[in-house]
Amino acid sequence: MTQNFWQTCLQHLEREMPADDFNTWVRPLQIRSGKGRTTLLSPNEYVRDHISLNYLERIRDIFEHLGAARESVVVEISRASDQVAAPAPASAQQARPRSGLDRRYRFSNFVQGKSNELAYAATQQVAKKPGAAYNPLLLYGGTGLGKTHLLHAAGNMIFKRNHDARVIYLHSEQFVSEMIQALRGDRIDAFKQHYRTAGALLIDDIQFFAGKERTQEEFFHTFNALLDSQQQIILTCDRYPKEVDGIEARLRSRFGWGLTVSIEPPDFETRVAILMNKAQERDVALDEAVAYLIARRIRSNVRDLEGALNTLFANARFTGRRITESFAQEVLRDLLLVHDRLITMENIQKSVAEYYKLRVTDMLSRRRTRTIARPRQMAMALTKELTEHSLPEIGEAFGGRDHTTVLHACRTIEKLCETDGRLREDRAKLVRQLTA
Amino acid sequence: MLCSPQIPLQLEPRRPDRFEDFVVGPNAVAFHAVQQLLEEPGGILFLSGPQGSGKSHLLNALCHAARHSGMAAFYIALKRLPEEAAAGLEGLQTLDLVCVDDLDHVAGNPVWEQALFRCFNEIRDAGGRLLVSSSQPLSSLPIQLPDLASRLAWGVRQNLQPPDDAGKLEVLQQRARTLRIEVPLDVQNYLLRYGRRDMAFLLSALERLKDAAFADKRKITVPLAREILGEQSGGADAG
Repeated sequence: MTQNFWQTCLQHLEREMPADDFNTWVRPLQIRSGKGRTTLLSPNEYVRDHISLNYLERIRDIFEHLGAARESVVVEISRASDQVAAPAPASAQQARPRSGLDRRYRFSNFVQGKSNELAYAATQQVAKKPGAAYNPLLLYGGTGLGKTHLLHAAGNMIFKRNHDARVIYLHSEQFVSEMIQALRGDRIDAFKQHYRTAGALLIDDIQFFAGKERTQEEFFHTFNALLDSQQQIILTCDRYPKEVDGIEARLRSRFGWGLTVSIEPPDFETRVAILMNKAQERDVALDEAVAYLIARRIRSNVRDLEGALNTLFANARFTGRRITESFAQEVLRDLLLVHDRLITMENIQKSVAEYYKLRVTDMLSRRRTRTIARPRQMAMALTKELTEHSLPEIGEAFGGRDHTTVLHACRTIEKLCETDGRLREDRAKLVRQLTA
Repeated sequence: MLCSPQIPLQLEPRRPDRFEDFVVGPNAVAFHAVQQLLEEPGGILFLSGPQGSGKSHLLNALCHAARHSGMAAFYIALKRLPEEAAAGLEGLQTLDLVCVDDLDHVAGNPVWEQALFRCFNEIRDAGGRLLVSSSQPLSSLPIQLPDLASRLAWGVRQNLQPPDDAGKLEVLQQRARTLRIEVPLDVQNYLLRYGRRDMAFLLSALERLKDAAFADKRKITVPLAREILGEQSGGADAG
């Protein structure tokens, strides 16, 4: 009966309301009816309040018109989303020992390369000896470089080797919102207990803790409790943690107690390997030439590579065409253009000069003092790596230098990166900036 | 707006946008990609295309199809929503499909970007499907949160071409069929020639024609269209 009322009600509202509003607010409501009551179920608090404030009166008008009592119509948050919004009691969580972990991410399907081998090795070592190797382990690097993959892979391995270990993975924002919910619902003790007794706690993107003092306070105690009982903590951050503003000093210093490792954007060979790997996972035969084409042009991060592949495969499937170089060029034209546009020789020179607080003209001059020569070498090395220009072209653009000078610059930077952490850091930041 | 208790029972509800009413034209690949999303739990699709290219139609049609096959679907149009509404993106991971329309209206707003980022993560973790539309391609949106940009770039990207004049006529004819009204060719051409030529305006003109014809029990003719356009051309909102 009330189902029919609701259907009639929908028909009226649809006529009366702008289509966007109707589709956004009213159409997704699910209804539960019984005992003379009609409950409109909204996915969250905001929708519920919006409906109550704006449409409930009208809905009740219509129900009344159809012969039901006005008060019989109420709006609530749907039960399923209720469960998600509130953290389950500790006992229920214990039943799910690997909370939040995505089994698809394993060490075996992580494509290693120069840019991430250190992070890979450290994470694997920690997963084999949780609490004993490095604690905490902090992985940092730009978005889409594989931090989350390693985090899940570690969690999955810890769990596989010890089914009793209570491994918790979550995103920092989830930690924040669960804490707020717990405070609101007077469940903060259960919340504390839940996280302070984890066997391994893996938190993604801790930069989102910035400026949230209450959360940092709670996390600080969680952190101490876990470290005291030698439970493993693995964290990720989108930049070197000391660079994140709005994180308390005591927490920041603790982040550095264990091991901090960076993940860099993948080099060309790794990008090709990632593409070939993904294609294989999806059971699509990918021509190496096509992988080269994409890898040469998209240098920013792994998600961009995967996105390009996803788009390519979707188009191939719907058009029934074979994935050739020209097909890829055509389908990914806009995407590849964008990635090309950012990285020009001029752009690199400008960014490097700015980074080292030099003028471009000085950097391209004949002067050989270290403070100018090193940035110049850096800029040349980056140009070789990030663009398609030939060595003579690069030499020419850098104040008419010989191509052997360019080669020397590339080798110098490469060698220095192995020993000089500061220079390696500079290089990584510049690459990130240029390929973002 | 909604305070009148009177309900005009004789009016039929507008039929929700459906796939079968979509004029595919040059957009076959994008059209298939949208439909395919239902078959792909965890799928992400970014759909770009200028105003009037049919984005909202496809998003709503997908929601309709999802509900038809028993899935829970949510559509949210970000255009015209205040910042507080970002809280409306919470808890959506319990749904099978979330369609976010008009991303371009909130790109660059940190509150919305954080909310979308979180929504994205929750949906993906839960294996839901996400369809995001924008009038500009992803690469030209001023998204400030790199984490959000890279996640949106992860999925399949499709671009819709707007209809040319012939395409617009086809859309008008299709909509006339769904509205179950007879719109003679000269009226269609009149609309295209003398009114604003964006799809939102043309379709709203059609709705008005229908209502006027219905109310005054008149046939839909060029003179009626002239009256309607006269009324509309002043203050119509492109939407």
